[in-house]
Parts: sequence; structure tokens; C-alpha cells
Amino acid sequence: MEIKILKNVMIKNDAIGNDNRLLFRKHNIFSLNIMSSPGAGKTTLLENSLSYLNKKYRIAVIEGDLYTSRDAERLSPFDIPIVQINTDGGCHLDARMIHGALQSIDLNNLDMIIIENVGNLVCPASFDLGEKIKVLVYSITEGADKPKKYASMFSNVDAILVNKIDLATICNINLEMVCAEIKEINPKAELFQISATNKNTLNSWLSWLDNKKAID
Amino acid sequence: MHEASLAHYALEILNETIKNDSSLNDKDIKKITFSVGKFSNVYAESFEFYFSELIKNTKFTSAKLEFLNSDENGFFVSSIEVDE
Repeated sequence: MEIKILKNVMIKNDAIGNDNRLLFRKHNIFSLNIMSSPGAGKTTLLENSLSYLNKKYRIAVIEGDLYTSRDAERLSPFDIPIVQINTDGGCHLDARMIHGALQSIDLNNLDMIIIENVGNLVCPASFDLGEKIKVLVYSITEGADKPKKYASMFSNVDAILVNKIDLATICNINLEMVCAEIKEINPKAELFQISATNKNTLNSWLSWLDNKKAID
Repeated sequence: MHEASLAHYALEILNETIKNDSSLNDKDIKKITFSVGKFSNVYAESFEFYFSELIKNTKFTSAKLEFLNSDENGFFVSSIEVDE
């Protein structure tokens, strides 16, 4: 006798993701989940974005890494609440981990939570954390072939920051072609060309974030 | 690697199914069928490896595992087959 179940396996994660979403809404907190490969520039982007965002909003950061608290230490000069999650080899953050981290943050005095996911261009795409906005940092030094190879990640985000554009010539990358291919995979995502080490290239990204926060 | 997490989620779903239907308590589970969507980011072989370890010494230990490809998004526990 066959018994139908028809349940999405992610339902367990997504239920906790929804709890997180309700918690963010209740406290009027705007949340974003930043994903990328290892070394694509998430933490550098955070450092150079926080110097602007930190003046406007009360922010907390959740850092996801397999091991070490190096990223949390890099952000410590901003004097904001930072929770470091170590996954001990785990390849992504899940909703349960975020729910746990939220217990140690005072949500009553916060405008924004930024989650820096584990560096991985595959698994984090599958796990809803309850965030409002999903952001992908894609470094062109990874190669122009990556958007189509990692289509599940590229197609599942609200914004894509094409990073390290200052190295395009050295890496023999045609930026126009890369961006056209990304647009093909995800026509809805907002696309920014940045060099995370250069704050002057972050203005459009930060204005977009301001707008998203304003209408949240 | 995330297939290990998914194996835990899947087992939770199956345990709940058994818990919610007392008529299944004394039945042997012969087969568990999963549906693997196109962009589900699930590598069935890897999932099977973790899941098989997880169900050792449980009610599901001797169940045959079946994976069907699907165009639908997502990775589903589709059905179980039990003794009449």
C-alpha cells in the first residue's frame, strides 16, 4: 500500500525561516543575507559598506564561517553587535542557526541585521534564513564561466554585486558579456559593478539598500 | 555536504507521518520515494549515503530508497510503501 506524503524536505528549515521573518517584522528590522564563494569579497564589502550604513542605522552582523572568528574580528572596530557562528565544517547557514544567534542580540534596538553566509556558491542558495533580501557577491577573478555553472545561486537572489572589476583587464574578462549572461540567468536581480576595496564604487549599491530599507 | 542536513529533515518528516497515523505503527516500511527537482541542489547519491546511515536501527532501516527526477522545483518526500 502506497501512502502519499508530498512534503518538501526544506519544510523543516523554512518553518524556522518563517519564524525568523516574523521576528524581524515584529521588531521592524531589515535583514539581508550576503552569499558568495570563499574570497569573493563579502567581508571587504561589509567593512566598506558599514562605514556608511553604521552612521544611519543601528546594525548587527551575524558571521558564518566553518572555523575561526577572523571575520568578526575584522568588523570589531565598528563597535556593533556581532555574532560569530562556526559551522565546524558545515557548508551553509540554516534557519535554525540564525534563530539561535538572534537569541543573543537585543532586537529592540536595531534597524538592520546583515548575515554574512559561509563562503560557498552552492548550498547557501537552498536555505531560507527568513531574510528580506538575498545578495550575491560574484568576483570576476573566479572566471566568466561561473554564472551559468552556478545558476541556482545566481537565479535565486535580489541583487548581484560583480566585484573586483578593477582586475577585469588583468583577468581577461569582458565585463559587458559577463553582465549580459547574468541578466539572462536572472533578469530581475539588481546588478552592480563594484570594487569592494574602493568605497567610491559602492554608492549605487548603498543607495539601492537605502531604498529597500525605506520601503521595507 | 548539505545533503546531511536534508537527511535529518527528511527523517523528521517521516517520523511525523508515522506518529500522526497510528495504523502505521505495526507496519513494515518497504519503500521510501523521493522526488528530486531540477534546481533542488540535491545530489541523490550523497543524500542516500547520509540517509541510509541515519535510518539504521529505526523503523525505516530495511526500506528501499527510490529517487525520481522531477521538473518541479524542490526536493520532496513523495511517498512510502507499507505492508498491506
